[in-house]
Formats: sequence, C-alpha cells, structure tokens
Amino acid sequence: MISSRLKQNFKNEFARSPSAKVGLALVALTLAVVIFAPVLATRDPTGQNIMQGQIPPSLAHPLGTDNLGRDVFSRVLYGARVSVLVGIFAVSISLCIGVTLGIVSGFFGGRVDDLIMRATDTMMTIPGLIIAIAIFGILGPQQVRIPDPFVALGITPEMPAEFVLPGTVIFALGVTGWTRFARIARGEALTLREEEYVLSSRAMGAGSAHMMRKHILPNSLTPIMVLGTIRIANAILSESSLAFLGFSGATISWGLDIAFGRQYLASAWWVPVFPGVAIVLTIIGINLLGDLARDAIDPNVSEEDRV
Amino acid sequence: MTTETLLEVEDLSTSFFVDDGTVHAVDEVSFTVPRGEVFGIVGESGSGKSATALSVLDLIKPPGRITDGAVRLHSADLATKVSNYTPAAVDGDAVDLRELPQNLRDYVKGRKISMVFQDPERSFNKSLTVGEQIAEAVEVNRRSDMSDAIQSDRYGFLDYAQDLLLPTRSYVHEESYERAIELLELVGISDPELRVDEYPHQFSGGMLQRAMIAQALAGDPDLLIADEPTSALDVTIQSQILELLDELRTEVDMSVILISHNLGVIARMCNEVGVMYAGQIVERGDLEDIFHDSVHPYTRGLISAIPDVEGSASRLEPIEGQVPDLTDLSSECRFIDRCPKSMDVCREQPPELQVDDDHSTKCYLADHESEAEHAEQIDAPLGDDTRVQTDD
Amino acid sequence: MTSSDSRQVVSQTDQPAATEPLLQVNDLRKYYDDGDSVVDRLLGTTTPPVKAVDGVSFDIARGETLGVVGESGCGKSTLGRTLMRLVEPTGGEVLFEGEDVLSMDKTRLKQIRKKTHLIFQDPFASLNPRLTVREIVREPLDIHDEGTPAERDERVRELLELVGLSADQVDRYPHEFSGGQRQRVSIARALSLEPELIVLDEPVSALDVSVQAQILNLLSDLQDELGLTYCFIAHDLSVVRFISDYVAIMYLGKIVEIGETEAVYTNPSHPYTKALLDNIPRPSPEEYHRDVDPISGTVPSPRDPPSGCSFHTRCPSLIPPEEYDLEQDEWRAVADFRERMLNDDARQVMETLREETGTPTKIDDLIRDRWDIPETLTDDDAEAALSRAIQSINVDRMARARSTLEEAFVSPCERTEPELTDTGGSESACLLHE
Repeated sequence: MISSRLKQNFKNEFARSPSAKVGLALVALTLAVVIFAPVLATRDPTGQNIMQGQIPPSLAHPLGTDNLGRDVFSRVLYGARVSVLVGIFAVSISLCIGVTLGIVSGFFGGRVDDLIMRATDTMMTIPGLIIAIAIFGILGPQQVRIPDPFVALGITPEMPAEFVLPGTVIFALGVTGWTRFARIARGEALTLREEEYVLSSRAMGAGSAHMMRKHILPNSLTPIMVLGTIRIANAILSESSLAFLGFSGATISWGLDIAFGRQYLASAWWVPVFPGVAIVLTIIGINLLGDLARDAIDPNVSEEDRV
Repeated sequence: MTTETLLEVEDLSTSFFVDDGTVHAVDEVSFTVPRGEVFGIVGESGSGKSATALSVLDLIKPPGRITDGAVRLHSADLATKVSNYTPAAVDGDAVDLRELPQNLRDYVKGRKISMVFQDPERSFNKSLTVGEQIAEAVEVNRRSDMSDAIQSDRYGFLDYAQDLLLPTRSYVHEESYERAIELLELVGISDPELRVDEYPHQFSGGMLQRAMIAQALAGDPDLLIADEPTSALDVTIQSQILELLDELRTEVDMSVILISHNLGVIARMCNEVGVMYAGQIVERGDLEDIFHDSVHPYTRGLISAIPDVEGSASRLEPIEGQVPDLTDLSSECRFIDRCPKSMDVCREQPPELQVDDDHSTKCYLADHESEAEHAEQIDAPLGDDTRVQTDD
Repeated sequence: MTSSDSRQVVSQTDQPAATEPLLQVNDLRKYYDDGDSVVDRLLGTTTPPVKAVDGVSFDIARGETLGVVGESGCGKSTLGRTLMRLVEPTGGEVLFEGEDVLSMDKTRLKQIRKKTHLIFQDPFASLNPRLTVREIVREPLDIHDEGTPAERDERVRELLELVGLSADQVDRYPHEFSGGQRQRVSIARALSLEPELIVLDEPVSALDVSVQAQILNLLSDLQDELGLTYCFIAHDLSVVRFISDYVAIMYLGKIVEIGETEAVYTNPSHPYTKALLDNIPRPSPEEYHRDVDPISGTVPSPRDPPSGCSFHTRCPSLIPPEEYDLEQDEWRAVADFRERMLNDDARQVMETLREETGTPTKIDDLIRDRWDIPETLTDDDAEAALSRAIQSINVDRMARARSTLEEAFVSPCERTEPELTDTGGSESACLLHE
C-alpha cells in the first residue's frame, strides 16, 4: 500500500540525511537488544549477589552492579524489552481506539462528530498521569508473564524463564493515549470524505462502512503512522515515569532502575545513569526516524515542475 | 515590416535537472515580438509554454536552468543604464538579458517585463488588502529608481516598533497608494477608491484578474507576459479581460505575449502565433498561416481536434498517442510517433524551415508544401523558374 | 424532451416510442442553509439560503444526451449531484423509470444505483490513489456482490478493453496513467454494472484538447454501442454541442433556455444564450479583434438573486418601462446606474465620485460620464425623471434620489419571473417571448 513514490522518497531522504542514518542505527540497535536480550546479556539480570554489590563498571560487569549485586548491563538490556514492548502495545491500543473514533467522527460529522469530539476534549483536559494512577488504584499492578523463547528453546538456560510486562501500564497508556490519534484521523477523514472517489463510491451504492474501510482508512494511514512512531517514544517515557513513581508491575524496567538507583547517584552513579542513557538513546533514535518519515511524506517536496 | 521589434528570443533552451534525468523543457525556441503587438503561444500541457515564459523573465529556479540562447530586449533607456555596467550585453538599443549580472536582471523584472498568471487567487496574499499589494509593487519599483532620495525614508526600527503596536499602519508611502488606485482604475475596476481597501476574497474572479494585471503594470513594463490569464474565468468575463488587455496594449504602448491552450482566445487577440509541442515551436506564422495554411501535422491535428461551436461534427479527429517523455529524447523529430505523415527523413530532427514570409515550421513537409504552393500560383510553369521561386 | 409544461417525449431513435422518458426532473430545488443557530432565528438575523438549484425541470429520453451548460455558480454541478441524490434536495422530484428517486428508501436506492452512475471532472481526484485499477473498476461489482470474484475480474478486463485500455494494466496504480487514461478508467468503472443513465460532470475540462477529442469520441461510441443515456454537464459550449441532442442553459440555478441542440445553437432565443454564444472565441482568422459585446457586470450572488428575471441586472435586452421610448443602449446605461444606486453604498460612491475631481464639475456630468449615459435621454419624461434624481444627489438627498430612480425606471423584467415559453425552436424563460 505504500506507493513507489513514497519508497523512493524514503530512500532519497535517508541517503541525504546523516541524522536519519543515526536514527536507524539506534533503533536497529534497540530492536536487536529487545529480541536478543538473553543472548547478549552476560548475567541473569535478576540474579542478586550482595557480596558483589555496587561494583563500578569493570570487565566482568561492563556497566557495574547495583546495590543488590545485579549486573546493570544485563538489566539495561532486559529493560529494553519492557520499554519497547510497552510502547508498541500501548500505542497499538491507542491507535485502534483513536483511529476508529476519529474516522467515524470525521466521516459522519454532525452529532456523532460533536459527541466524539467532546469526549476527546474532555479526555485531553485530564492529565494522563492522573488517570493512569487512578487505573492503578483500581486494577493494581497486573503482570503479564511471557515465556522467554530463548530459554524455552534451551539456548540460554541460565536466564529467567519468563519476562514480565507491566500489564496495567500498557492498559493505562493505551486508554489514555488515543486522543491524538482521534484528532489526526478525524482531520484526515474530514478532508478525504470530500474526495471525488468517495463521492463516486457513494454514487455506486456503497455503504458508510465500505467507504470508511476502503477509501478513508488506507489514505489516512501515513500521518497516523508517523504519529504512531513518535507516540511510541512518548509511551516509553511514560512507562519510565510511571515506573519511577512506583506504578509498574514489571520486575526489570529502566524507570524502576532509575527509581531504585536514584539514592545512589553520588555513591554508585552507574546504577541510575545507564538506564537513563538507554532511555535517551532510544527516544532520540525513534524521533530521528520519525523525522525521516515526516520528510519523506512531506508534500512540499515537489516531484516535477509542470512545464 | 515597419513595426519595431521589442523582444527577440533566439534559440532559448531551458532544462530541468532532476533525479529521473534531464527534462528538456524548452528547446531552441525562437520568436520575435513587435512593439505594441500581441504574440501568441499555443500549446497543451507539457509543451513548454509556461517554461518559456518563465525563462524570458528569468524566473527559472534550480533544478532548472537556462542552458542556451539569447533574450534581447530593445529598450533605449535600459541600454543606456546597462552600458555603464556591462557594455558587452548591449548592441545598439538591444540588451541581451542573459548577459546581465543578477542585480540588473532583477531590475528588469516588473519594470521592463512583467507577468500575469492563471489563477489570480493564488497570486494574492489573503491577509492583505488588494491595495496594499498593488502599492507594494509600485513601491518596490520606485525605490530602486530613487536610491538616494529615499535613504532618509527608509524603514527603520521606530517604524517597526510602531507597526507592532499599531499594526494598521500601512507600510507603503501614500503616493504608492494613490498610484495603486490609479492602476485599479486603469484596469477597469469601478469605484477603485473603495476597492483598494478590500481583501482578495471580496473580489470576484474577473476583478481579481484585473487587479493582478494592475499589479503587473505597476512598474510600467514594455512587455506583459500573460500565462493562461483567462483559463480560470467564465467565458463572458474572459471577453472582458481580453478586451482589457487589448486596450492596455494601445493605451500604454505595451506588447503582450499571450499564452493559452485555447486557439479561439489566441485567434481573437494575436496576429502572430507560435505553436509549441514538446518544448519546441513547431510552427510559427500569422492566423491565416496557422489556421488555413498550416504545415506541421501537429498544428493541423490540434485544429481538427477542437469541437466547433458553429458546426455539428459527428466525430472529432483526435491526435493519437501521447506527448513524449521529455527526458528520453532521441535525435528524431519529437512528433514522429504520433505523426500521420512521418517520413524516413524525420528520424533526424527537422530544422526550422521557411514556408513563406513570416511563416516557418520545424517540419520537412515545409519543403513539399512551399513547392506545391508556389507551383499552384504560377500559371505557366517553367521547370526552372519554379525551382528558383521556392527559396528557403 | 421538453420542460415540465408539455410532457411529450420527442425521441430521436427509431425505437417504437418509449412510453415514458428514462429520467424526469420536476421542479428540483436545492437550497443551502448556512446553519443558522436558534439565536439567529429568534433575532431574525438569519442569512438567506443559497439557492443553488432553484426549480429545474426537464426530461431525458432513453438513448439521448442532454447537455447542461452554464458558467460558474449557475448550479449545474449541484444539479448533477442532486439528481443522483448524493446531496439531499430541498424539494421537487426525480423520476427514474417512473419511480421517484428522492423518496425511495435506502434499499431501493441502492438497487437504483446500479443503473445510474456519475463521472467526475478531475481524473486525478476521482480515483483512489491507493487502489489498483482492478480494484477501482471492480468496486461497483464488489459493492453489489455481482458474480464470483473470478467473474468480476473477467468483467474488469472486458471493460478496460472496451474503453481502449490494455487489460494488462489491471494491477497498476492511477498515478502511473495520464489524465486521459485515468478518465477512461473512470468510464470503465461507470460501465461495470451496465448502467442506463450516466451523469457526467465536466468529464473533459481538465484534459488537453487532443485527449479531450479521444474521450469525447469514446463517449459517443459507447453511447451508440450500449444504448446509454447521458446527462452531460459542462461549461464549454463547443463540447456540449458536439455530444448533446438537447441542451439546457442554466443561470443562477434556473434553466433559461432548453431545446434541441441545433435549434438553440443556430437560433438562440434567450439573451443570455445569445451572449454566451457570441462571447466564445472561434478558432479561426476571422476571430481577430472581433467585436464582441461583453455582458456588463458579474454574476450576482446566488445568496441574493435579483428579483424577477435573475438575468435582468446584466441583460443587454432589458425591457424598458412601457412609458418611455428609449434606445436600448441608453436604457441599459440608466439601468446600470440605477442598479448601483439602489445598493447600500450609494452614498459612498457619490462621495468618492465628487472627491475625484478637483474642479467643481457638475455631478451630472460625472455620473453620465461614469455610466455612459448620454447628455440628454431621447425620451423627455425619462430625462426629466433622471435629472430629478441627479438633482437630489447634488443636494445630498440620497434617499429621495433612490426612491425617484426606483419608481421611475421599473422594468417589467425585475417584477415578473419569466416562465419557459415555446419560441418555436426552443423554450426560453424571457419576458420578450411571453
């Protein structure tokens, strides 16, 4: 569904921009870490050994150990899974809710539009964090345990058999983050419904569902995708913030580690700093890729001049 | 031909250098515009007509570039001014605009040559009044003429601060404003004193086009290039605008290059026409030449493809095929794939051949045509005499 | 094919006379409301609706083409959409094969949609850029669940060949085609369900002349081959002449002239039709500097159409008041002046008129000069009335000037709305013919 012109634009922009290359490198690195964490990690990230506590970065422990003797390097690698997967799942939920509401709202207009937009506005006025905390109050820190394929296949038996995702966080971020998607999708639907091919469709006898599915949705995807990329970065930050505040449910998380490590900033700086660096690099990478996407789609890049 | 020449374009070529290749948008285009007359350029989309106009006015921006040719404007005062800077560009009263340095080329824009475009709504800033925008054009043209005198009136910091606080203050001189009102009157807008303070959306399409013409006249140009000035307008308004252009031509002694895809519009306004196809002028002549004596099959094809408002044809004769890809050109005649009369010799791009006085075409059929024409005229053909008469 | 008065079907084909026309439109109206709020209604500050289509009636017999022509703002596009019920009309009826499309329920309407189709102007905008040609042409078949998917694909190939495209191009995207080719795809899509009526809204305006000819020929051929009926909406009179059997001229939402193409073009009755035809530039050497009488002024706003005959503010043949005996030119000049004076900003106009001249020139001369009114009108009574009005202006009694002008120079054209009347060749809505 991506037109060849778009692909060409991507290639051109990528070739042209050094920051895009950096972005891609960072994101690729992050994804590699997410997938191959058990293989890349040197130690069991949950393995405590008080005797080895607070050792500065060394050969044995490349990024040092925290107060409980856990290897920071391995924790940072595993932490990537939580952050990235929370980001992806939460945004997926937001996207589904938001895009559906937005397209329906924009397409039908009138009362439906008013209603949905009021809901969106209301949602946007309440700080997401407050709602998230409220959800936590109701649901508590639900955990989603996922068996680790590398351990199950026996490749890295010494690593934890399951990794834990903070289910409530995913849910909370998912149901609070849809408003921006709704806005964008609505805007697209408003413009697109005036397109002649939509009118043509209606002239043929198409129903609203058909028109929204076949004509509106596919043509609105590009800005939505760009937004989605950026929102993943946001979600990662939010997850870290929530974990920092104590609202998590995961056992390993960059935010959690920063929270626990905060008190050791003076004595064992490597404990909170490295997870923090990891967050920064991931966010930068995603944003740079987001810029690439935006530049590639940017309609100001004119194709040929009409002569 | 006793009328003076105002503009001579010789072998003008412009190309656009894009990723897919080089688009030869304008290919060795030559024509002359007499003083006080209207020259028409006819072409469909992709013919290069707009690019030609932009090239004449030096408005081609990268990735496009004028690659060859001369654009000679006959203007005594320009020649005098230029000879102080770049004497090489001057030849009598003709100035080759392409030889000028950037600042002098900028001087020409709006002052000697001006342009009007198709869609007036896009040429005006919606947030400023029409008067302000026309006055701005007047102002710009005045300022660089009186460079010293204006020094003291230059827009300073105090003026800027004042505008921030009281944004209604106009930033152009009162005189320019007055001139703007005069110009609006000149182009036939009634109650110009009221209209001058209105915004573009308050003007109808036809009036806005008049306003655009007014703006183009702000610098008192010798030549006005009008690129599809009436295509976005209704037929009744179109007549008004065309009449206006003709009036201005005589009143202000201005020449016009009229570009249009509509042969009817061209016929009403121009007595000399150039037909463009794929970047070239494929036929050039007066109305009789183009409509009744055309040689190039494209010209003929174009005319037979138009539905006639005065007749009822049962079938139109379209030109089969499509415009060739301008990046992928061989040395053949560009019309060869669509031409019903192509010959072997057409594999080599035809040069410009004379058919008659002031009637030329880039088509080998010209040789046959001019022979046939002259053969018909002569009553008692003597083989040798016929030969002698057809000189190219 | 006529207007509502005489419902005789004049069929050009040799078929035994069809009992009723394929399409009958009766007093169709579409007004656009500006969404006034409750408060506006209470205060009485509602804005008048835009009367885009204001009482249009015509028939189209099977197999024929009705051309609908007009300049921008005349309502022809809205007419097309309202006919197809893509826009809900404000009033009137549209009978397709005898059934009223406007009062059908959704299910029946969906069935009728198989028999009618609409082709748009912009070949770039009427095709979804994300879909392949196959999906585009197939869409009507998909929506109505016709045949198996395999059968539908086969039909798509057939249709592409029918419109002159190669069936191998099914999997390409619209941007890979030229404007003319895209329009062919549009036509192929329109034909997929074997419709009977096709409404075409400026189908060739965005195309180059040579391509336009190709598409017009195609449309003409298809009509013959498949027995299609067309409602062809356009602003280009030459194109409409070529393809239409009957033509309707629209102005400000109403039909001002309607009749057989030949009759209307060779012998136009309505002043607007005459002006339109006169203004068209002919591609021929005789056109050079041809004296065309441009119609003065611009199209009035459809929000506030003129009273009586909507063309009266610009009509070169405006009927002068009975009591005077004036030349048409001077009468039109006086009417223009009166028109201007009866607008709100009359005072301002007069002020600026006075400011203009430094020397104390008489207002009288200024006015006559500005509006091309002769020094003395040929009719004494008229001249007297005009002088009185100008005198009032001179002493700044604006209201009196206006009322003088208003009462003294009433044209029947502004009082009565003309009905379509038979003029022999066509029907024309003009008091000159009643």
